[in-house]
Amino acid sequence: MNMCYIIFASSMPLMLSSFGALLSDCALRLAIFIDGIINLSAFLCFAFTIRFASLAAGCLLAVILCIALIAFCLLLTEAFHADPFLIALSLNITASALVSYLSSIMFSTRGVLTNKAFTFDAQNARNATALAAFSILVIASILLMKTRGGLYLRLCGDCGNVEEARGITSRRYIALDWIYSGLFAAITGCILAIRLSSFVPNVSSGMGYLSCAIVYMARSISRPMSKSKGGTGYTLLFSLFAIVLLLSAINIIASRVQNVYKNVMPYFLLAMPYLASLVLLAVIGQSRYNHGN
Amino acid sequence: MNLYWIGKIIDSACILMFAAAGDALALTAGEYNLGGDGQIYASAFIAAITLNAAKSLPPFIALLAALIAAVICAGGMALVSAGMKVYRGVDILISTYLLSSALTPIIDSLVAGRFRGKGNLLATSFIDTAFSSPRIMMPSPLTLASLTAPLLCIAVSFVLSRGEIGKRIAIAGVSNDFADYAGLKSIKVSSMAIVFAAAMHAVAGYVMVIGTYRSCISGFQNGVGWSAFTASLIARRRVIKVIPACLILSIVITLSSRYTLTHLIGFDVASLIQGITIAIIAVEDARRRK
Repeated sequence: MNMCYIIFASSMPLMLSSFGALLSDCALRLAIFIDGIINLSAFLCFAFTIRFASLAAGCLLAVILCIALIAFCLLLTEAFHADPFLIALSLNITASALVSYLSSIMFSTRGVLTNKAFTFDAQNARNATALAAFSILVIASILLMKTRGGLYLRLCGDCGNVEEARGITSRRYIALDWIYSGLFAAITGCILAIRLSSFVPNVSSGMGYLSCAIVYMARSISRPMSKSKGGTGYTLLFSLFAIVLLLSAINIIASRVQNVYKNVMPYFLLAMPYLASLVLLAVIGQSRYNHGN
Repeated sequence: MNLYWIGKIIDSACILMFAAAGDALALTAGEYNLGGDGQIYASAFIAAITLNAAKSLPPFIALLAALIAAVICAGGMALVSAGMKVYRGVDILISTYLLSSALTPIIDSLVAGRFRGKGNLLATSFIDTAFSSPRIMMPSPLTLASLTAPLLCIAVSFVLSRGEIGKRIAIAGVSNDFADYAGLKSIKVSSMAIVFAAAMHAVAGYVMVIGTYRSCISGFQNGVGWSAFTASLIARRRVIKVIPACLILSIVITLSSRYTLTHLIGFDVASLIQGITIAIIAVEDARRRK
């Protein structure tokens, strides 16, 4: 039971970012920026918490600023009809560089940042953030699956023409999908920073790209199983959660392996999530669909 | 500006040219190769250990063997991605990135562990001076091997523009369906393009070992793949335009690094410039398409 809870708690950040990636995939605009936004949000959460001596303020400001940055990039994309993939890539790289810039300006270092005002009990931090993330996911899933707005968000990519024919502005929901992806990425960043009680450069460690891969895998599993052959249904959602739990379990097992087999190279364990995703992708395959405008 | 910085600019531009030419080719075929960093690192590592193992061989044979080994290594990585696309429908964008991210820490551990040379560097042993490319602008790291980059770009561009293979790649990149209906098997054409792109990254890694660094240093490939990708976007996916694009990018990145060093600025200027450059390219591309 303890192991199950550990896997559940450790999977929450990846679960959140994968949910965000799923939303961007519904809009057929891959959110390559998730990685960068996680790093930026983690840093801003740390910086603002220290500045205002309030964790709530730190998290809120971090999320707001990240969303503002994504909204600005959206404006660029829409105003100039720019390639959303390139804009997302640019945002990813710029967000990571911004972290380096702000860190050197505010704290005179690009390395690990710690502060007494940003120290939390490890157990309590893990439990609280797991509970918060789980609550957010449950609410978000219900809103996505049960509300009209959620339906429009799910269909704006694949069935944008249908929405337009019904008088619904699909472009608005495509933009909202991106904003919500950023929101989940920002929350993930805050959670990672709180769990570490510090800011660590590149804290995301490829979580954004992993989330995109998880969405691909979830689509491949769910497509033959679902009654409708398109869109986002319960099957896709549960497939996503199942894959995240599986990968988290593999991660936990990998970190435990070192206690048993002392000769295992630590760097091999770092590669484990990527290798596991590759193997899963190779086994499951990927359903053919567009992922960009 | 002294000889060191001028040579450094040209040297890093040439290394970028190898990788960017490959990326431009992949983009022409409609694929994104996001695993450039890992391909460069893996091929550089293989080249370094091959040269260290082949000390008794004549230089020409050893260098050729190292080049072939490096190309096979990176080509093998791309073949895995291409195979996953052909047989499992997995996007090359994701598979190249995941494979590169998976291999990088493994190579880090090999460089820092089993294949680590003597001394304090986290690097393989320095290669024999007989295998090193001669430096031509001391004290800069510019070597003769680096200067083959523009020639290779011109050769590749010529083959693509005049040869049938170039037409196939371009058609497959514009429209997969049209290419398939014309009997071109777009999936195999784009897979071939990706393998060739990886081979070009292998050459970049090889030149870094025999030229600039004389060994494979842990993490020395960081950012080279992404810079090459940025350069290929600046070059609007045209291989010949990669030459000025890499020069411009190299000037910007090297001079900003120099500014960072001399003015004790602590942040990653190069990534900031890359990010903004890609955004400008995306907007410019859209304006041109109008």
